[in-house]
Amino acid sequence: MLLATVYYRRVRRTSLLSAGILLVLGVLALVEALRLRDDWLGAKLMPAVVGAVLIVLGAAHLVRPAATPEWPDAAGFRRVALIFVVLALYVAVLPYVGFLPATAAFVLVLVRALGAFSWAATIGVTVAIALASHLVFIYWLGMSLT
Amino acid sequence: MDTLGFLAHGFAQALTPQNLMFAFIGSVLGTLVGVLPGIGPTSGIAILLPLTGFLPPAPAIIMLAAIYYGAMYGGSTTAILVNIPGEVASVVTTLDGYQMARQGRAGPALAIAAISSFVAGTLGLVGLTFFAPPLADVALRIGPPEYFGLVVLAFSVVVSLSGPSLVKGLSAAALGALVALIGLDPMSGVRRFAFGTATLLSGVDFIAVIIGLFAVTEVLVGVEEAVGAVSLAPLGRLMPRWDELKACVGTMLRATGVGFFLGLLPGCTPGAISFISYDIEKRVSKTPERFGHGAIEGVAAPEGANNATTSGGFVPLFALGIPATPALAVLLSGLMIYGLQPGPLLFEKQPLFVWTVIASMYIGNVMLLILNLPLVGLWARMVRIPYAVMAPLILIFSVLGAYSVRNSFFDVAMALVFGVLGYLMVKLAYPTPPLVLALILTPMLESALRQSLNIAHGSASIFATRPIAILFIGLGIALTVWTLLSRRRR
Amino acid sequence: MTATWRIALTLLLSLIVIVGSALTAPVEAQPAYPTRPVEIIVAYAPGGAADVAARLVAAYASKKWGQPVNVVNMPGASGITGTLRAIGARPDGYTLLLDPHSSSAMLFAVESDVPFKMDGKTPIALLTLDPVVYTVKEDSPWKSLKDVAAAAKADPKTFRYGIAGVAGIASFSVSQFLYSAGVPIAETNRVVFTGGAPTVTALAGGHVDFAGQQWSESAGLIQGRKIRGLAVVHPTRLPGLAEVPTAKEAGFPDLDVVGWQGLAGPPKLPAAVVQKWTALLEEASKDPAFLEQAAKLNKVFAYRGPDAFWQFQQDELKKYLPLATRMGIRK
Repeated sequence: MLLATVYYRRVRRTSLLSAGILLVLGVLALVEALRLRDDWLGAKLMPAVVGAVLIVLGAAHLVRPAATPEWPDAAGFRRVALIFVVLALYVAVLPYVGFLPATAAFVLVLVRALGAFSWAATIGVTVAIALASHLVFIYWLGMSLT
Repeated sequence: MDTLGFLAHGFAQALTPQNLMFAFIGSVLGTLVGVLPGIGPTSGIAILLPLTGFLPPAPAIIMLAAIYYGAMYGGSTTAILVNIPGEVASVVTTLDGYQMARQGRAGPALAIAAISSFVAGTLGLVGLTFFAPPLADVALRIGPPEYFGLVVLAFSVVVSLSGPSLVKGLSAAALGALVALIGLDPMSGVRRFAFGTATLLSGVDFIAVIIGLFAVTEVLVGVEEAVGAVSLAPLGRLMPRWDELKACVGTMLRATGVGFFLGLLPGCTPGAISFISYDIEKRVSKTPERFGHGAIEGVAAPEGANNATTSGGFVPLFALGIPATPALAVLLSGLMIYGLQPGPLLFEKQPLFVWTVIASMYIGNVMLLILNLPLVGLWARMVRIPYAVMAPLILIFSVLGAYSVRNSFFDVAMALVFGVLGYLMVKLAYPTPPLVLALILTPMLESALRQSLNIAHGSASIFATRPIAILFIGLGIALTVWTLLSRRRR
Repeated sequence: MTATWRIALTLLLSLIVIVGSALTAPVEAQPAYPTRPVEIIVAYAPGGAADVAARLVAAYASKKWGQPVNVVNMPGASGITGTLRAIGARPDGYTLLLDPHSSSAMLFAVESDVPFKMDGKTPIALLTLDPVVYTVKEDSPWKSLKDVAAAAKADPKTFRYGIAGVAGIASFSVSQFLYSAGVPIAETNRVVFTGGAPTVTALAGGHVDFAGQQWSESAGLIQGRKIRGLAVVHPTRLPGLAEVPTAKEAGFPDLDVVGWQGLAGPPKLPAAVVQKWTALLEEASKDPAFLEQAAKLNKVFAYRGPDAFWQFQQDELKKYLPLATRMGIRK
């Protein structure tokens, strides 16, 4: 009985969250539509329509029962969070540190975190990937990341 | 008719060793460029255009056209192998192609992509050869009201792709529509949802969103589930089974038709066309529930439609001088630098040049097939590379790809944001294709609707006076209703 | 033992690679400009009017200097994004800006809140002009601008004209024409498209009746006999459009909206860089092969030096500001 209520509350909570997000976005869209200085058949049209649709859909979320979300276990969640943080850091330092150093560091951390390689193999893979991507993107295609 | 004679001359020219070599180089370069996410045909051609600067006109154009076709094909390789669409038109290929790869069937997926591209592209070229000028005139008749009808028809695909929960599918679509509205309205110049920042003013780039939703999300999911590799299933055969190939014949023909005719219309994005083609296949199939889980027709249809669209896009380009897509616009400027004046007079004034180019497009299609079929084995093995190596590679490609579209780190940030969003959507069982489709279609919908209303001084009566528009809108509504009813029945 | 050696070696190797890459950062610009590839940023999508002008000049410069001059496209926000990036770059001459009317005079005439200033760049030169061509469908009953004016005045509610963007050049050119012809604009149908190509395409298909886009955008369909040019806003008739009269000949001498593309750099660009470019462009303006190529791309090469270019931009702004206010599009 207790398990059932806990389960049910958990399900409802995600529905509420989704409904909330949709409603907020819908209201935002409508507010923006009203703020714009143009004809109703001009720039205001689509924001208004989309806003209304979002609000209707948000309400619809509250009405129908939601299915169970499949949340990951703690270890999985830690992995995802770690990888994402590393990725975000990589992107953040890329313009400042330069492509090769940043990429080398990024790959090193990732390969270490994801793989069960020896240190030698890890370094080898890091160098290979970093150099290869540098050659293709920076050298051959001439992308400039400054 | 003279046409065949000219075409024969064209082939004679195109089959010279020099031109063959350039077609080959172009195909290879184009494929490589297409494989890199974010660098689609448009940027590919723009980047490689200077390379052709030192060539005489015919080989240069041959190479550029080969690059274009190659890029279209390259985009599907990564779509199948690692769920990264190389460009917009490959998004649909990921739906079933990646699933096939995970089931150890990357080989057949890649092979059918190559075969379907070849068949549809070639048939489309036949259409270009014989019917270009009259078709171009038909294309001109399609104006804003008809485009609106077309987009309504395309939106009906959203319902079909929503999966088990219609509300979730529509929510994803609404979200996609909202994102599409961010930025400067291209018609009136009004700033929408920019909140005073200059960065949001340029809107959210479409490729960045796709890279986030597909590539980054997939890596996050893979990391969470601690997968060893993209696919640990034993690699089966490299080619599709004979019965599968036979089943795909109808698919390829339908995809050619849809892709070619819709590709004629300037402004009809290839992404939308591949969705429509996919949906048609799903509807005519006797077992539609296979779609989304590795149905081979689900790869054959969009791939065929893409290449047919490419061929179709050359019709208004050659016959009217109007580029149907941004990539063709770059190609057009390339053509003009070589003294080619596209337009109806092109076929009269410079027949040998045109037909040489068209003949080499045929050859380019063959070349891509010959080039890629043997490589299928090599590509297919890549899905077994340990995830510890694949994941960083995918992420680096994603970062660089998102950056390369507009040379902007904002786009990379957007890719990350949508990566997280995609992850949440996967966990909460919200389908991502409707979001992408809405993102593609909303700008078209908006401009078509507003223009139609402007033409008729603000009244919606314009739709009543245009039969083709009525046809499309009616079809769209009918299809939507039909899909809704058949879902009820299930 | 051997394992440790291997690890140490790979570590050393990667360290060398990482340090080495950091050390190969580009050095500052040396006197003999250019010593490495130059980038011209075009704040618009490839294939457009601005992009074509940039590629024309870039190709010529690359050939003459032996160093690649590359065009980099950064579209977005009607040209603001790319322009901001170019202005914010280091003023060493290796990042330049293709500066067209749409992110210069016309933009400032319409928007009061632009994130950069018109004098926030170093003008290098005016490159090309892209004159406005007023067009109608090939089989239209209107054979001259005066016909159009008469028809629009007689029945404004059925008069539909197409423009590419409310603040685009066609908006100015068509509005200027309608004002000077005395047509009640408010009662006409203005259909806004997202670019020049869709606009002239719609014209050719008969979905709108009149347009006033640039030469480079209209030439293809004119030569293909799908649309007809009624007048060209230029002192002389254009090559390839010999049957199209000038606006003056067509009876409307006051029409003066014209598209143009120029070259600029970030503020505080060294004079040496500017001089190198102006010398090159002067040479180009006397080079018949180059001029012919420009004409093939439907551009009038109209080189003016840095001071003349700046004066030109200010004159343009003075021209469009009152027009924008009158049109009601000034924000």
